[in-house]
Amino acid sequence: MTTTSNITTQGIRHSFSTTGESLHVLDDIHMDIGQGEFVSLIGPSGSGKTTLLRIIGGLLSQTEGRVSIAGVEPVEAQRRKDIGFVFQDAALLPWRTVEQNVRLPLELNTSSNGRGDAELGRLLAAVGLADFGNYYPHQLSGGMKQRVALARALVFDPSVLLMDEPLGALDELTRSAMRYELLQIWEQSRKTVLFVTHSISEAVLLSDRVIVISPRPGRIVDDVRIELSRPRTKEVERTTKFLDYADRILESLSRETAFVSAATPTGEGD
Amino acid sequence: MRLPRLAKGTKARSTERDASAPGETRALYQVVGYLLPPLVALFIAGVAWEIWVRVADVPTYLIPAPSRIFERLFDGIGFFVKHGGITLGEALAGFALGSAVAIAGATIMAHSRLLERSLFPLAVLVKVTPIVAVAPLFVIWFGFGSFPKILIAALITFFPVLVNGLVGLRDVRTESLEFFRSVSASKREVYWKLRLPGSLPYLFAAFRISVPLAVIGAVVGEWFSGDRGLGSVIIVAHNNLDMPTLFSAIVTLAVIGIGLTIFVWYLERRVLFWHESNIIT
Repeated sequence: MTTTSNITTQGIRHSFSTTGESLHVLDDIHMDIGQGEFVSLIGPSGSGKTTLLRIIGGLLSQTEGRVSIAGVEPVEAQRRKDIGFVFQDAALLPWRTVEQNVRLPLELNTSSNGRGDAELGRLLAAVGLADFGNYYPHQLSGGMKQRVALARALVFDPSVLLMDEPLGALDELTRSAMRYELLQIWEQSRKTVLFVTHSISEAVLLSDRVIVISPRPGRIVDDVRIELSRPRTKEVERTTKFLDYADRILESLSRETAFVSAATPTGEGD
Repeated sequence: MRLPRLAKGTKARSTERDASAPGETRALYQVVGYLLPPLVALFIAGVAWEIWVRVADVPTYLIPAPSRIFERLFDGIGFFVKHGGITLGEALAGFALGSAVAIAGATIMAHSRLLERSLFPLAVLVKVTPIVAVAPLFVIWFGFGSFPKILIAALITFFPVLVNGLVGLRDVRTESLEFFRSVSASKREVYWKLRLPGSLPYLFAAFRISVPLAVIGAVVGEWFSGDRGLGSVIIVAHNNLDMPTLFSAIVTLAVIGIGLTIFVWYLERRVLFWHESNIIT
């Protein structure tokens, strides 16, 4: 167990109300994520994973419950630039070069800045883009764009990295290569990572813990500690231990999905 | 950037010079390829016009021959450059004023639905009122100088820029906006670093429409007052049935229009190099 906890949530409930009807998406989420832990959130689509991530990142206020990041509310953590966000879409600014995109957070909310250009260069090198600083986003592949987004999220050296299916839009080959690159980068910096994904093997490969969330309303149905040695390599993916973890998560997921489809015979439980 | 090099193999056989500087030579061929057909067509039409006027003996006070027009134009080139410059200046000043007010208006409306609902109908009202109907009023209010012409050019420029600016400032990707929020960027920062640059493709589309309109506005203004600018040159020439001068003024206006259009196009290519419309040529 890691000693200090970095992200804690207590009894988070969330409903979206649209035109009078309210949609209950998250129910009673308790989490305690330690400093430097890599935790994946996995669940079927519509289980509120992204909503949970946005609440923790301070982009959305929950209906009920409390979140704290390094002891403060998400909005305050945001202001202190203690949260790095990576979305499924890199969302780079097309009129800025790679370097200018990475530097963007330094130009915003400039009260709490630190990094200079030397460190910017090191950051680009860390994500394998040392020679691409002057390229524009339209000249990059999807995988490279996500690496820029990662560097941009790391530019403040935040203690928490929130990633919403960052590899989801990539092709399979790029995706599996990016997993190992991500692991490498993480092992150098040891940030607290909360990683939303649909892929079981991705979750097991990357994480210290995998938290399984049920379909709507999202509840935590399983919390699996992945005790595979690090650094993890391609060989790990073929060990029985790895497959056992994957099986267990798949079972937790399908149990919940089966439960829902039995409860809602119309099949609208996406 | 890689495209010309890929095409080299296929082109090399037809033209040997391609091998030395494939990109530039190809671009030059492209420009010539675009310009040549319309120029040839224009030349043929001019020759036909000349022949027709001479053969049918059309009086000059109805339609002058192209040779007469160019004679007048080149003899009085200083005169046309001077008045053309005045019209151009008024058009550009009006365009700048109208665009600036429109972008400011779009900025306000993009941030408040209430203000949009209150102000946008007024903008539509300005738009649907024929500019020719308002022009005499401006002359009465603002006198015979350049100012009323600038104002008319501004008025005619205003609406396209406002509408496109409003759409452009609102057209922001949710994920970009979320990213800005995730580092607690202020509204001002979101505007200057995200919304405004993102709206440039829309604004340039409006500029392409507005720049020629601004010239129309300046000319219409000059019709109603003053003794300067191509609009007043046209009115005076019309009263004297001086067709060579009138046609020369029209040619000067056409040259101004073409020049401005090319300038906006060039500027757009430079500024929007990152936009989809400019990436693959």
